[in-house]
Amino acid sequence: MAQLTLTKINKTYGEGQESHHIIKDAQLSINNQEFVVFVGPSGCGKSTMLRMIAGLEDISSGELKFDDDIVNELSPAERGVGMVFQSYALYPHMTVRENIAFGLKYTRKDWCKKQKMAAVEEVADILELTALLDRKPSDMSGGQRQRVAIGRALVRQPRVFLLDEPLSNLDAAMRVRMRAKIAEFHKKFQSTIVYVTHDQVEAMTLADKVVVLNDGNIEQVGPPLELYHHPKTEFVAKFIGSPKMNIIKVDLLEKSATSTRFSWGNHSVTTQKVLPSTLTNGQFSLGIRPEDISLDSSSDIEVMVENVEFLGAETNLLCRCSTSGEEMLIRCNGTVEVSLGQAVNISFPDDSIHLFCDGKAVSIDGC
Amino acid sequence: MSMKTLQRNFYGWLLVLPFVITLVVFFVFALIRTVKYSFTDYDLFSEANFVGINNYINLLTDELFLRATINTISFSLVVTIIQTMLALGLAVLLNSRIKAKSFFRTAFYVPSILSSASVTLIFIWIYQKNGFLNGFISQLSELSSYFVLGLFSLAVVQLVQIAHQRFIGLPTKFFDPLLALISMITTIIVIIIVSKLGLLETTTVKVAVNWLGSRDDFGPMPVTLWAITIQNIYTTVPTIMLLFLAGLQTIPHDLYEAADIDGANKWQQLFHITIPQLAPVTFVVITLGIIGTLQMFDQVALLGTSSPLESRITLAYYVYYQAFSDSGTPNIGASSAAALILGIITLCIVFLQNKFGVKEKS
Amino acid sequence: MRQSNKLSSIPESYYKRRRWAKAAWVYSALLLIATITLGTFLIAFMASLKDNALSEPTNFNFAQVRPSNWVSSMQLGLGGNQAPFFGGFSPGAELTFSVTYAVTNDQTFSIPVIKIPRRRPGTGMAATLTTDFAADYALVSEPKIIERNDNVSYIFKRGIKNESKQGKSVTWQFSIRYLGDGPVIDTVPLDITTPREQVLINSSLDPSRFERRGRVASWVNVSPGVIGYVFRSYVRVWNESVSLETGKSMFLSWTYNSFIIALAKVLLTVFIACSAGYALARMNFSGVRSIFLLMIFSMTIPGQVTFISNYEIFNKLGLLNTPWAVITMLVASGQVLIMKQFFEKFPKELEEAALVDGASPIAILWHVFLPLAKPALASIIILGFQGAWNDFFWPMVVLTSPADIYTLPVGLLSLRNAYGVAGDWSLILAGSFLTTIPVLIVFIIFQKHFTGNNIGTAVKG
Repeated sequence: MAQLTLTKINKTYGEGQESHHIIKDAQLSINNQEFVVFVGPSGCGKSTMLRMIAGLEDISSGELKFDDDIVNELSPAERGVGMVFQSYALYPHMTVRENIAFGLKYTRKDWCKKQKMAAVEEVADILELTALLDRKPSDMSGGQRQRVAIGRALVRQPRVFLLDEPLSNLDAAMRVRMRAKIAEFHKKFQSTIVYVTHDQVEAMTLADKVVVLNDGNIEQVGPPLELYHHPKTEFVAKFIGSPKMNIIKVDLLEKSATSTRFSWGNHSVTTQKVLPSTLTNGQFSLGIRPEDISLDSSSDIEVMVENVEFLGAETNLLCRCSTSGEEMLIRCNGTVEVSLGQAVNISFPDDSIHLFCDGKAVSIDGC
Repeated sequence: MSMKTLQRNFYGWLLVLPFVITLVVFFVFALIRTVKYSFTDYDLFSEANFVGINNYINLLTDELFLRATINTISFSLVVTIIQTMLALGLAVLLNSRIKAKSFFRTAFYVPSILSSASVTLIFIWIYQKNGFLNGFISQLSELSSYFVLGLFSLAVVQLVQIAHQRFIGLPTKFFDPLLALISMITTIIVIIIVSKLGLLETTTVKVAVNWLGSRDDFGPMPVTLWAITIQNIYTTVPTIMLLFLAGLQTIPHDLYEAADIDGANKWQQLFHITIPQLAPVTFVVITLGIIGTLQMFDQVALLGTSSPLESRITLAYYVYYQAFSDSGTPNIGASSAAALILGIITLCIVFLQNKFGVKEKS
Repeated sequence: MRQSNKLSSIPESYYKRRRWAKAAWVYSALLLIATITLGTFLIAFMASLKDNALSEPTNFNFAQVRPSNWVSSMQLGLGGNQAPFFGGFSPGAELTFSVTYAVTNDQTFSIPVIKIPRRRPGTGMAATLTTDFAADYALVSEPKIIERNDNVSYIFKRGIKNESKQGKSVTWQFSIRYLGDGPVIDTVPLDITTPREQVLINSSLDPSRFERRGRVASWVNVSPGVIGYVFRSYVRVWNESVSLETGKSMFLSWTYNSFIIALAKVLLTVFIACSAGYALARMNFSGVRSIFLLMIFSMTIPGQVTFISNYEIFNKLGLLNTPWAVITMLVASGQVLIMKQFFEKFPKELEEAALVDGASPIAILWHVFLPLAKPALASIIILGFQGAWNDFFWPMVVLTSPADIYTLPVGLLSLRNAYGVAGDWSLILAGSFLTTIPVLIVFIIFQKHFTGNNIGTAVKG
């Protein structure tokens, strides 16, 4: 198993005027046996990062290390990675057994034939593929093929195990099952895993460490709950957590050593959060999760209900602030008696407020 | 039959009629007549008399016919195999990530677009006793001492480099491309220096191989046919290469990436991914290749008197020769019998290939 | 692959260089192959320009390539016929020619003997038709010395050896005038005779050959014009393959025939392939299966099996030795198959929509399928044109006389039989290149369709 270190990694496509700077100065450390998930919207560069780690894409500049070895110029096999492709990329004319055994021929030359056969059988057993060993990929379902792809990567006991959106081609039920299986593998084999997905639920449930990418930049790295509770940027705040966090633009009214006051439309919001003394102006916004907002007739903050979704266990209220025109989603427990066009009053606890300035979270140490 | 079926049949037959007419008249009817003639002594002018299987027996005892048969089958096998492999190699080469791809593709395709009669004549000129090929080989033979020097220097420089690299701990392979490049350049410099200093002798040699006119055999085929083999491959490989190129585009890219991860190098990927995936195209290429090469006629006719008949005869030409040769009356009976035998051989080989050779799905 | 210790000791540059070297080898291989494919034609083309394609086959610095000759031939053409490109010899013409000879210092010069021989140009059929000879109308003036040089080095050919010599040289100049009135003559041959020791080291135009062991320098034509000089073989192919009856250039007829036949065949093929291909692909009528099997069967049987019967048919119809025999003898199984495979890929909804609109199958073919069939049609047209242009066997069987009914490949064969024995290969090579020009033009125009994708998808399965 290996520790990965990415130092100032850049990736550019094309030349001159047509160049695209896909990955910008990425800096990342992945510890031994960690399960790291790269997550982000389409086109953010997460697959590119994964492929650079695998050795399928060149690294334009920067250094990639596996343990203490600089591996920039090494081929994928020389790096010792195993990979599961989004399309599985199984060899169509080979049986399952041959697919799994294929890599052993070239990377485990020191094993004898018996060892190789045994390894294939063992992996097939874990993945429940034993009955399918002599079938061809075209004769199997998506879930079965995916397991074969995982088996092919696993059997070589790679240093790093890479998965590129492996569950996106499966139906919802299968996805849940395979998610659990993948978590199981991680526990059992203790491998370093790098996993790419656009689904933040997978990220939250599987990861030891989540890396959020946006347009080639790493926005934040950390355990899932940390990203949930302490997002460092507006982007992360909106990306992590479902339904999305509400972000409302506010203006600074006054600040003191103990509190800060903002204006939001016609209302004023006071929070105990304190701005650093150096911070006086910028584009401020408040982030509040829908589940943190409650209906409070004593509050003077009023919003208009535009749409209601009754989900049984919860009710979603899509509201609009009457004065500032911004949209807001409120999630209430149980069933709430509200009608369209109704005005409701809301409040939210002070420590559920996330303060952002110019897109970045405000901390005592500065913007 | 319902109205709809009737109408469908009517229009169907209407559209297909021109084709069916040509098919029936120029193929089915012709085939039947040829079969009929093969059992007669027809000579285009007088009545055809039934002679039983005399024609066939005569063929089996005709030296020229047997020669033609062996030539034809050997030619077909040799050319089909070589042209398929070469075309595949070229296609794979062209398919790699290189710049100026369309220039190379066009350059490689040029031999196919020129008229085959023209190319044949050009090659006949090249193959003349005092033609280009012999002239070229003469020039090279005169420089043979330089070749020896070159090989020697290549080996020495390469070994020195490998030893140095191994010494400092790098696991360089024997045929490392960069070192080979350096060896090549060094060798060229050595050769230039030696030639300027005039250290090596060059002799005047005049090579005069009789490519076309000899009666010798090289293995199963006459030398002449080997010469034609080269020319034939020259013209057909580009077209086949294009077919393979189109097939290569259909292979999903991530199969190769998975193989990269699995540790297979480019040669192993060629054998385990590219070739199996190209099975359908290969099947078509080989089948069409067999059919085409068994019918080889043009080059034999164009060679004409440059080479003795036995050295260039193929079955297709034999058929024509029996019918329209300058000497004697047309022997349509023998011509038809030989033609039928050619047809049967074609069907047999195609069938055998289908059963035991490359199939449509690997 | 647990090589951590070993890996870290290998510098990154090693791997980088490895990659560059691999790329270098790939490009070298590509260049080598391109050299072979293109080089062959270049060599053959250069050889077609030579006076004698079989002499010194590896020498490419011959007379027709040197610019000094281009200039001279142009000037001479101007002088002879006011025609810098094709030359000639007409009334009132005056050609100025100069020759430089060298001898060793102890030898003396002899005045060269200049003569316009009464020689037939070339060896082909046109030669027999020539009635006008320059010798009858030309007057050569006395050569005048215009330059002397007392210190020259030159090469003296003794057998196949070259001896270097030192000596002196003299340049003579003379003129050839057209006396009186008469026809325009194409060629003005020239022979200049000198003793063996007197070596020709320079002249207005390089001589075509040396005769009598170097004593006679012979020119085929001293008023050629630049095209007539550089592309002499090509001009000869055009002029010398003349029909004995009409006197017209047969090469022109052959090209014309090939064109007409190829065009007509392509049109016929497109018509048959589209209608039959559509019917076999989309219309399920009784007999489809048998026709399809018959079609596949016909593709495996060589033309030699059926040609006798077809020959007799055209004989009976009296169409032998006409283009119709070639055009209509057409079993377009291959093309029908291509169109059939192509049409099969269309979704059924397309047809059903048209049927609902009330269209008949023919209308559907014409209005719906054909407009969408452009790539497949392009393949058929290109392959069909190429095939018809290069077709050799059947035209050779049915087009036997008169000679101007041939198509180009058959004509090339007759050229080869006429000149090959004599070893006049420049002419044959020139003819070969002229034959390929139309196909080359078609290729250049339709280049993007040659990606093979069309042919490939068409041929799959």
